[in-house]
Amino acid sequence: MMRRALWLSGGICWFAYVLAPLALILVGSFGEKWFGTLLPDGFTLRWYADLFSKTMYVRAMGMSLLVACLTVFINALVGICSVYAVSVLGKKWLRRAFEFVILLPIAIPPVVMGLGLVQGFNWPSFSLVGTWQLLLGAHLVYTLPFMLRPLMANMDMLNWTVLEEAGTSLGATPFFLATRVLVPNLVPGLLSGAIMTFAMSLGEFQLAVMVTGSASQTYPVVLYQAFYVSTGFACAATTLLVLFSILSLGAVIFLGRLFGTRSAGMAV
Amino acid sequence: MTGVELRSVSKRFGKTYAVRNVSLSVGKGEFLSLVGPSGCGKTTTLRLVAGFLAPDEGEVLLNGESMGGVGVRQRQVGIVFQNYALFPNLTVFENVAFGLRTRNTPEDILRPKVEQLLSMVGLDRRASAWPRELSGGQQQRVALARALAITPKVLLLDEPLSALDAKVRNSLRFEIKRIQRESGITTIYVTHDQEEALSISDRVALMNEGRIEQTGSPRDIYLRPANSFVADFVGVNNLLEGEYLGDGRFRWRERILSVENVPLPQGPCSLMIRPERISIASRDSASGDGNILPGRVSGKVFLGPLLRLAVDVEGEQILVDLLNTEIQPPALDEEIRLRFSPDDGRPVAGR
Ligand SMILES: Nc1ncnc2c1ncn2[C@@H]1O[C@H](COP(=O)(O)OP(=O)(O)O)[C@@H](O)[C@H]1O
Ligand SMILES: [Mg+2]
Repeated sequence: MMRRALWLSGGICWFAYVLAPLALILVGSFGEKWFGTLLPDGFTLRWYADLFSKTMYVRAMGMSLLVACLTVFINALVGICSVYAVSVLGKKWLRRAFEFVILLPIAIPPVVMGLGLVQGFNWPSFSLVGTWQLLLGAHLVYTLPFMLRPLMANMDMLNWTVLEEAGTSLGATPFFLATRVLVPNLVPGLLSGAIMTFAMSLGEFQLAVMVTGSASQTYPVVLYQAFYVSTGFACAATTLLVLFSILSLGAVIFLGRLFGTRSAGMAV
Repeated sequence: MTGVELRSVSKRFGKTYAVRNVSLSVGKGEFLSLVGPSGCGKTTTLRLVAGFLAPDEGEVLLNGESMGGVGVRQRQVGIVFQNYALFPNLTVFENVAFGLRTRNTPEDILRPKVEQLLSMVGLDRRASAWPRELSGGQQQRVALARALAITPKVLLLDEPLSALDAKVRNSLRFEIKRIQRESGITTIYVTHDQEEALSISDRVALMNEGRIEQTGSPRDIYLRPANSFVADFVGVNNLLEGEYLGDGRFRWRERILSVENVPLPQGPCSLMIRPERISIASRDSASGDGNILPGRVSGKVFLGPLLRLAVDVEGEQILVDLLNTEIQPPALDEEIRLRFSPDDGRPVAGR
């Protein structure tokens, strides 16, 4: 009885705060006008046509995808290396440092980090502020914990020292071991890390709005401006972002399945 | 030529010796067990042979060649670990093929070889299974096949059966022995289980606190333990502490017992008497050339074919194994007289 009530209220909240707004935005993106009523009037594809005709939005989406993909890729490499080091060296202080690194960016609000970056990298003779590279760096630091955490959990389950000894005695070089055994066995962790970091980078607003310039604006930044254009337009722009998130996550999961989640024995 | 040779090898961790001045040679094709209590340095010795550790002193030789400065990868040793250590992302077939793949073996040589190994361990039908789909015993067979695939100079097994339940352990024990005999591979088998070691080895080396106490055939070790530690470890339950007087005479408490005449110096030592060599003397029989120890039955355990008695002799508990065909076993608390012949009392060094 108690459990059913909990389930029910949870379900209602999820519907009210997640699904319903998304559904309204989807509906709104096809509506002619939407003012003072629950649902918009008329059906049109005008907002989407508008969206794709404005280079600013298309370029911002490209920029967002670029930064998100690079974030995932670099974080995956950094993640594999650090998780390997922590696990193989087996030093207590290293593991503590690792936990600290994981927690720190979560403890610091993005606004603080953004301010710090703007202050730190803005010199008269040399400024990184306004470049997408600075945003990439910010996203790397900001999302790294979310890559490290599932990877470390995955690594801890592997019993790697013995696998490495077995492989070495069979004649495998470190490279052979890394590519044939280590990485394939880390796929589940990589996958959940990739999903998290990709989604976080793609939708990240606070850092992006502070760090980027007009040439390097990402999609969430221009999306915010879209609300000053018109409701229908903003809805269409939002729908596009959600669509991209879902498609990209689908692609990541598909790739993960392809590269041996099955064999690693863990479903994502 | 020897398969494996250790020459005065020592290994320290910090200040404590894990392996101390160990010399050992294993003949080509020989099956040697390294047995001893937990923490005595068996694994360390094995890792010195494998090359995961380098000796602080001494030298390791494989097939007569010194392994100083030769890494694990170049040593060509097959290792079987206690927890199987199969690669979870590879099928049974690919696990066995792993060593051949690192050597870029062409497919037409690799495939039949892996198939032959898999059928040797009885898993040819599970070639495409994942390791986690197999039982512990099956996984360990795969690990064995994987280690043999590289045609190792020596096969090293570190407590390979400890993680398995008793029934599987027994059957796999003899299968390992069979496979070793068929492939003729030099083998070092580490275990803490003396029964396991005695039952499958050509030779047994018994370790204690980093040293080898005795090396010999299972029969030797069992019948002629070099000292009281070995005797105790291989399951002699009766060790009486006393003094050897030379010439086949042993003083225990107030008694002088006649025992085996062994080349031991006079002085403190232990007398080993196996429970199955002790019998019950009838009340009135003369002692003859045997020793008589009067005592009181303080416990009885039924062990299937055997009946084990605990007999209290002057405060010392002596175990006696009787065949269960004995017509009238003594009752609890009954006063009896134990008898053993001089050949069955063997003085061993140490107490
Ligand atoms: N890497 C290590 N660092 C420090 N001490 C170790 C290490 N490996 C083993 N030892 C110590 O060496 C001794 C022998 O260990 P080991 O060879 O594992 O024994 P066994 O395999 O016979 O149980 C033990 O006292 C153990 O604590
Ligand atoms: Mg051990």
